[in-house]
Amino acid sequence: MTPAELQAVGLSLAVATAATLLDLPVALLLGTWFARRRTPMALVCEALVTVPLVLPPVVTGYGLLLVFGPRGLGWPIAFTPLAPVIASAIVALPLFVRAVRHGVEAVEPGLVDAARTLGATPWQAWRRVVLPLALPAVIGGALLAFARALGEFGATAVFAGSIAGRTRTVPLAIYGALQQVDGDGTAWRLSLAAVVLSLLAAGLAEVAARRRR
Amino acid sequence: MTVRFDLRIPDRGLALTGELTPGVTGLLGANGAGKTSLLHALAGLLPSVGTVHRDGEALHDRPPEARQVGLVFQDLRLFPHLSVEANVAFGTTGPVDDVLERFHLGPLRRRSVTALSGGQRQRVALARAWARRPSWLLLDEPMSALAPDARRELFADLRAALEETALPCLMVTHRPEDLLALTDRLWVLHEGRLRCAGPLTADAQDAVVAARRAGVAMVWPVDADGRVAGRHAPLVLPPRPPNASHVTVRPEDVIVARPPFGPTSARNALDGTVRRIVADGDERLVQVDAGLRITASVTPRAVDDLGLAEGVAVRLWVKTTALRWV
Repeated sequence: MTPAELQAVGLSLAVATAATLLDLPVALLLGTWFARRRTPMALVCEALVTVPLVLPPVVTGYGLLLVFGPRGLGWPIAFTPLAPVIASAIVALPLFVRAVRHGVEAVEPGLVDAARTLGATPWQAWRRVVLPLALPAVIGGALLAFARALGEFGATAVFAGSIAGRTRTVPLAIYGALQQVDGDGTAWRLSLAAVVLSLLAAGLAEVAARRRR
Repeated sequence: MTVRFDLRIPDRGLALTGELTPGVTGLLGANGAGKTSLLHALAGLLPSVGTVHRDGEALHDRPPEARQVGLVFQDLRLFPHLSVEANVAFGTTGPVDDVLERFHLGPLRRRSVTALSGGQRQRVALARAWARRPSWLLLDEPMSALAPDARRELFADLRAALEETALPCLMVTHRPEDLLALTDRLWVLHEGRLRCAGPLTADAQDAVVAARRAGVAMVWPVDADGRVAGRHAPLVLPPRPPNASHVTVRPEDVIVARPPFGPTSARNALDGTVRRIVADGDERLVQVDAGLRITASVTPRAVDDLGLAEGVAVRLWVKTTALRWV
């Protein structure tokens, strides 16, 4: 692999890791909330979080551009190294939240009651009982989100562009290579790297899911 | 220490008033009467309207974690991801060696609670509530699903622990033996109201009515001559405590014999015929009509060896010390 290709792989790994870490607290919070409270408010929020799962990622990217662009909040995030992280985090979040929700739902609510009578506040009961029991689901969700972030293309292309070393992740580098006459070798090698990394993440997610049962 | 409550649980149609004093109060009631609901409402786990005071201190506006209550759930609710020791230590910061010791869990401390027998799990649930040093206790059928031997053993530990601390304790049970062996008073939950059936020792009449409703058949009135149930020859009874008017005996303390009869140290012999034999876990309950209806608990092996069956004539032996005044 050429230095530029290695750089794309490194950036992809860094972006996917950052996006997963960014999603982690949000997914824990929302997943627990959606699992335990079936209020109209929770249902609306759940639908909102799920939207990026079914929306064309290009639309998500365009939305991000509108929000963070000069006519939106005006924060200079678009086309910076932070942009692919945000784009990937939003696209991967629904998978993560769903995994956490299912994990928390599987924890017997009576155990939380038991923890409460033993002196635990709701937060302590969550940390000492719900989280450890839902941990395999949380890890599975994190790996799934990581894999999804690795493959993120549409939203990133629109919101982050393809700047070498800054926002050019593996999918963008592959797309760029395919636009060039002599890019076949690069596209082939990066595709192979993408397949290996995705298989690894998806495989680990499956292992985590099985340990839950 | 007393816990006084006046609670309504509108969803369940319950309006419950009572005062828990030190000692064990047995709570009887049909399935679905609301016994578990009362316990959960007292602990703050079930929404209710009204008041709960512990020595005049209001508990009803406090969350469950601030009520200092030890609750043993009917379904135990052990934490499956924690060891025996970690379960017991969940509600306390100090060491739990003495509690593990008291409930004979020392050798199991490192084991996962998912790898325990039913009796062991029950011990962990009791120890976990105990370790927190609660100022009052709520036990929801703490002896359910236990083999007779394990139950007797756990009884002894629980009784000892309760007598030592003199905590107010409300115990749901449907087993007559639990009631007689462990409780000092009896409440009956019926049609959404709580009736205090009185202490088991002093005001025995109400207690007996309540006990019979719960299926405790072996509580008999004794007249001044020591005649039990008014129609049998006098029994040799232990000295009668003041206010006691009834005697009871536990099924496992009744000895069943077939002829020929040799001499024995037991003072009371009752001749009768077997009416019915029913299974009770690993034991067999032999119901005998001997003027009184008496039930003996024996092993299946004994049923075979003695050739016990309906209509067979037997003699029952009851030791004087096995008869208890209530």
